[in-house]
Amino acid sequence: MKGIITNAGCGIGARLADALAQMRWEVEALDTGVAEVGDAAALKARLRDADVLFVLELHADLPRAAREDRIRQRLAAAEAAGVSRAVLLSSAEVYADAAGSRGPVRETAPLYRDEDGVPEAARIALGAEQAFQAGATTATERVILRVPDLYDRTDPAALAPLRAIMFEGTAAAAPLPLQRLHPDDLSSALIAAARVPAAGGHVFNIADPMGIGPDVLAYELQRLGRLLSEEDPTDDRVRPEYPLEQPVLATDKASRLLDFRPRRSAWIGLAECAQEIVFGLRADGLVPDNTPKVPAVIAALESRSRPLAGKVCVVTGATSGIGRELAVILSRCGAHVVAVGRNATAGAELLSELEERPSCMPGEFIAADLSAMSEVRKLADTILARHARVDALINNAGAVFAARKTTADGYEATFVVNYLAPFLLTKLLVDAIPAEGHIVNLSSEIHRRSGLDFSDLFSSRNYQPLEAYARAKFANMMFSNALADRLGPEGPRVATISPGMVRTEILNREGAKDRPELAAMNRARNRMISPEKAGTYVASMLIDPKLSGLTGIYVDQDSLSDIAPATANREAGAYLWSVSEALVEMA
Amino acid sequence: MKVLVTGPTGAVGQYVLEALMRTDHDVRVFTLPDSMHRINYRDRIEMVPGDLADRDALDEALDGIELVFHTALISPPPAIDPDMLEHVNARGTRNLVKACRGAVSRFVMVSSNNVYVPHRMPNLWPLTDDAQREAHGNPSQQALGESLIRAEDAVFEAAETGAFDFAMLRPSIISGRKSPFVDNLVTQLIRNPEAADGLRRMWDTMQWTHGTDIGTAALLAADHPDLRNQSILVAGEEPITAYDVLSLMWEIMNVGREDNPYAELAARHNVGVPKFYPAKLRAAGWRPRMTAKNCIQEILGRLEFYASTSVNFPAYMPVE
Repeated sequence: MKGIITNAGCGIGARLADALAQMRWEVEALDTGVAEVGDAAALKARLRDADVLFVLELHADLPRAAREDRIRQRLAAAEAAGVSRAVLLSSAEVYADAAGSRGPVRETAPLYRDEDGVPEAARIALGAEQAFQAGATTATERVILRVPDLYDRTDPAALAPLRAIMFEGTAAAAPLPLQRLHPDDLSSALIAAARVPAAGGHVFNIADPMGIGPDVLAYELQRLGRLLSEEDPTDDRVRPEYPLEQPVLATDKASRLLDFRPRRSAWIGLAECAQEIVFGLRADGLVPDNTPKVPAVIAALESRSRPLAGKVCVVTGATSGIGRELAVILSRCGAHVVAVGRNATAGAELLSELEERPSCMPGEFIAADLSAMSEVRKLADTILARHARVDALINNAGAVFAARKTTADGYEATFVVNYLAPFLLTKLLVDAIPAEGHIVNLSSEIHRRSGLDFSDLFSSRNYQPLEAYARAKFANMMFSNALADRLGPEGPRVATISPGMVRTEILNREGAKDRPELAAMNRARNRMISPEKAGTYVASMLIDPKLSGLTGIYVDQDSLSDIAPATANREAGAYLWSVSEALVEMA
Repeated sequence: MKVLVTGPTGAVGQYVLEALMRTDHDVRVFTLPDSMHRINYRDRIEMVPGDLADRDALDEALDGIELVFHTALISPPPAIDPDMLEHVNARGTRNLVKACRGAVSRFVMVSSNNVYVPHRMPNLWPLTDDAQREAHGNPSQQALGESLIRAEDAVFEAAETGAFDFAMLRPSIISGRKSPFVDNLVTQLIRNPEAADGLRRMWDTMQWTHGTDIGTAALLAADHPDLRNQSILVAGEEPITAYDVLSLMWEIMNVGREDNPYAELAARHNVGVPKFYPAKLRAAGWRPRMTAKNCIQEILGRLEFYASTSVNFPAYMPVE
């Protein structure tokens, strides 16, 4: 089959051409360039082997007389060329008394007569219909489709009245129920009119079978406006059941003869138009911006903005768990990472990852066992020898020991690794940290459940792994608060962060299986967050503008949280400080 | 061209393999030894058994290969734990990418729309190809997103250093053989249509893509110049909720009747505008051929087959 579309340049023409092409029709456009007037022979030649002529002139931007001339001329050419059918797209405006009609308006209802007082749209459509019917013989069957406005989101004229209703409510709506058609359905109606044998010579109303009254229309457009623009539109998520209105146009003839029913409901058409209106409002700033709010660290990683370019960041415990992910994240943010850990093989692997990945900056690794105070001192010396400035010190290394363990210095290991080593390392490096630099200590919400027993810092009377861990984190917290006090608001920023329950090996070390409480926590791994996620929480202390300027803060995952009052006790803090100094001196 | 498909028995891989059977490429597949018996077209392809942690097997599989379709990625939590996701998706992809350096000219990976920022709310629609990425959801969903983002990054960074060109496909919910999610949805609705409300709340708007359409998208992405080094959203055309699934099921099972009791309910729950718009694929001429109704028809047919064979077995098989 071959179809010729006149005025194919309009939106409807393009859609129709698409739909026909999908049905394997041969499609040709007959546009303004061809055969304006008098070139009847050329026009006839173009139409020769066509089966159907689609006349879309109603949507051409022409004076009335020129439009009618053109339609007449094309139909004459079609007759001469033996085109078997012509389909005219007309308008439902032609009916004289749609408002006064008792039932839906049928195709046989009275039309406007060509007199004064006829609306312009009706006058144009009537003229087109008359021109289309002129000089009809049996050669070309003619089909007229009378169509209301379309839900055409690409057409500003179709959106303007809907936009007005969205803003002004029922007052802006026409009194008659709306029966607009979806543009895709118009294409299928045109195709049906071209194909169905019984359609020849008939006039059809093509419209949505359901009428939407002005109140419902206003309510629905406003609901859609909220649904498509608000962040949490739960109340508006489901369309309510609206009362049905009697339609203006009767559509049963098209349904019987053409077997045409709109595939897309009016609600879809309305939603599409409402979305387009909301896009426009958003562009004008009248509707909240919908750019997703991504955490600062993720945004920096995704955009490669490298906010830490040129900064030296020391990360302890960087060979596994949170520390390893954190080292990679900081490196991807542009930092020069000084990774500290016990496992030299894992350290070398980390370095080669930083080296190989184009998103990372090269870093360095220093092997050190933080449970020995001498090694902490050696570590600090090495760092200070290599770097005059340390922009961030992240005391990440931490451990839970299933059985009580003492270090080479004779101290209890949990206390040393989680508190005493960070205390000493911070003290040794603090002078190299500039005022806009950071000291970040990793803590855990578990510290809130605990306190500090100065008479038994090393848990020698009763060792419970998690209790020892909580005490050490409590001490760490108390130290952080005291440090923030000493450094003051102008000094380097001190922050403590609890990353939450993280899928690391901290609860899974040797002997953990013998401790039911540790084993139970480790079994909940699938509900924990990843080390990577925890790493982004820690990195946000350096990168997130909302946090990076603050000192003396405690952050639970991604939100500022209250400091446990017990850890802010100044006297106890000062005492802990002096005891700690004595302990590191003695070691 | 010599082509490698990893994961040729999966929800995506089997359709990529099927699509490749219509081309004149020499196809090799890389597969876990214990799923070799499930590979289709075994008489027409080369098979290399192994897993993505096995460097030697990877070298053997990649020998002479110019084009890679990496579909050996796993997805559905909670059945698969986060450590496994990390192991297969992130580390597996990293190993594969490392082994690729040299001969491979294009690397097509099938990731997931899960890597994008949360896009449940209609004010964010339609989501398109280059939306931001952020792993989100509960910890196991997050683990999936993270593992896929790490896998994607491995590919992006290898491409950056000149190893190969990539095409990163991100399909929405996949329908087809071996897609337990849609199967479960339909099964639940058959057993209890009233589950639709809960399922609608849980999954809200979905836009299923059938495996065959992902297969054609993958082949297109393998040689289309505009899709070179692009991230590409893949999604079917219809936005649907669980109520639409119910309504379509009724239509399929009641051919010729017009009194669908779920039609109105389904229409009311459907926002009416698409959630995803696969702009790049559409510009490259791709159109999904399988509608949601086709997908459901396929599932119902399969369920009927299972039901008809299972009647031969006793419900309970005693063990000696």
